[in-house]
Amino acid sequence: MFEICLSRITWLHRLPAGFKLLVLAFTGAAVFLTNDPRILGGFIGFAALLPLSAWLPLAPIVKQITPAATLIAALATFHIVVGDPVSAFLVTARLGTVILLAVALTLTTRVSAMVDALEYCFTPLKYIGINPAKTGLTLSLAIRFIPVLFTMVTEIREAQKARGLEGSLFAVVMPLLVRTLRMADDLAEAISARGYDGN
Amino acid sequence: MIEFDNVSMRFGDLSVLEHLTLTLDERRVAVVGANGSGKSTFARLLNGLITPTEGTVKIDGLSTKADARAIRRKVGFVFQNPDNQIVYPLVEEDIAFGLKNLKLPKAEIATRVDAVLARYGMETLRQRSAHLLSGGQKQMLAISSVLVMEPDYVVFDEPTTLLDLRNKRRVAKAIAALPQTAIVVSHDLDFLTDFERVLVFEAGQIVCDAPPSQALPFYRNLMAAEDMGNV
Ligand SMILES: Nc1ncnc2c1ncn2[C@@H]1O[C@H](COP(=O)(O)OP(=O)(O)OP(=O)(O)O)[C@@H](O)[C@H]1O
Ligand SMILES: [Mg+2]
Repeated sequence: MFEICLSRITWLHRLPAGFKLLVLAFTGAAVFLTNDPRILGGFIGFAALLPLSAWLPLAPIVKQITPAATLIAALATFHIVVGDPVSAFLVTARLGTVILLAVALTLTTRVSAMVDALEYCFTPLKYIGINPAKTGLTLSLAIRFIPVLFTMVTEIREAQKARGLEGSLFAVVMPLLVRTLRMADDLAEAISARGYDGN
Repeated sequence: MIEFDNVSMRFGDLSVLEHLTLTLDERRVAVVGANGSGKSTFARLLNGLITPTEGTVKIDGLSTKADARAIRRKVGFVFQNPDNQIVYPLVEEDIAFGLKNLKLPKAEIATRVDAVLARYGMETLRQRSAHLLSGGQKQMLAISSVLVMEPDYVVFDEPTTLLDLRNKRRVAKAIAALPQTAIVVSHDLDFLTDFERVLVFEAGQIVCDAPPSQALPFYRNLMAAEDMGNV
């Protein structure tokens, strides 16, 4: 998740992060504003061609879209089963477009660049009491700690399995909670030790 | 120079350090002691992560309470678990984090990040995801992220505890080579033999303050004696 591909820098890498985020945001909104299968077909075609046109490697793309693709397939199957193939196409095109664009974005953009762009977008929010720098940091931390949390869950589940507690949700959630809270404490200290003061 | 003047630290009812007065001006100071003896509390007092309930801690004349911001720049802090201190997903982004907080110009940030990566042999890792690094590489990243700030003092709280022997050696070597003053809390006594001064903590008191040749045997005896008492 959130892997970035830097083995070869393409034109997609070179586009400014803010611009890519804007395209994603607008397209994400646009696909839900139309019900025309031809327009939506155009959108998903564009979204699929984008990574191809930059010759991004296929393996990480496939890896990242697989979970979402399963979900979309399930939704589409449901629509087909209830006899509504047009809706099946619409849902596939809408979600597919957003996911393909999101993958193209994360594969070619550094988190720090995205955070900088978002911080810039959030600047006006400071007038309603929201700190743009803090919001940006929160976002990058969330992205950074998703894999850490996954590792933690795996470790805890293995430990509980060794004790014969694999069936117990409680036995996984409790240590996870304790470890996450401790981690959050440590992290807060580490961030302030590195001179961060939220401005 | 580090000066503790009659420092006491309490958490609620729990008194962790009591009336500690000492001066440190050695370049390599080690802190050892049993679990819960107050080592981390001592270490965190050094860069103002916590401030004393009573008394003052001064680094080169600056008070950790009154000059908190200057102290943070002067004293870097490396924690035990690198996973809990790496902020950004990419190695080079994480190293740049502290410098960004100083609002340095982009070009200067880039130069300093490059220099640190080169110094610690991590150029090839610069664009790797932090979560894909080995434990030793992660700790070297955490250390680099602190050193890029060019602090005058670096405090390490059990920097090698989670590492295998090879990586313990690697980190110990990196610490030994630092131009800065280093204060190292550690349970890995083997790495402390070259230090100039060792503080042995026991229940919030410094029970021995001597060079390693005396302090390390003292500490081993102390632990062994407690063992005997507990049988
Ligand atoms: N923020 C806090 N709030 C309450 N109690 C604390 C806090 N920090 C430390 N303590 C307590 O202070 C005592 C000393 O803790 P400290 O972390 O300094 O020990 P340590 O010598 O670093 O131990 P270890 O070897 O396990 O790391 C412990 O009893 C601990 O529970
Ligand atoms: Mg400790």
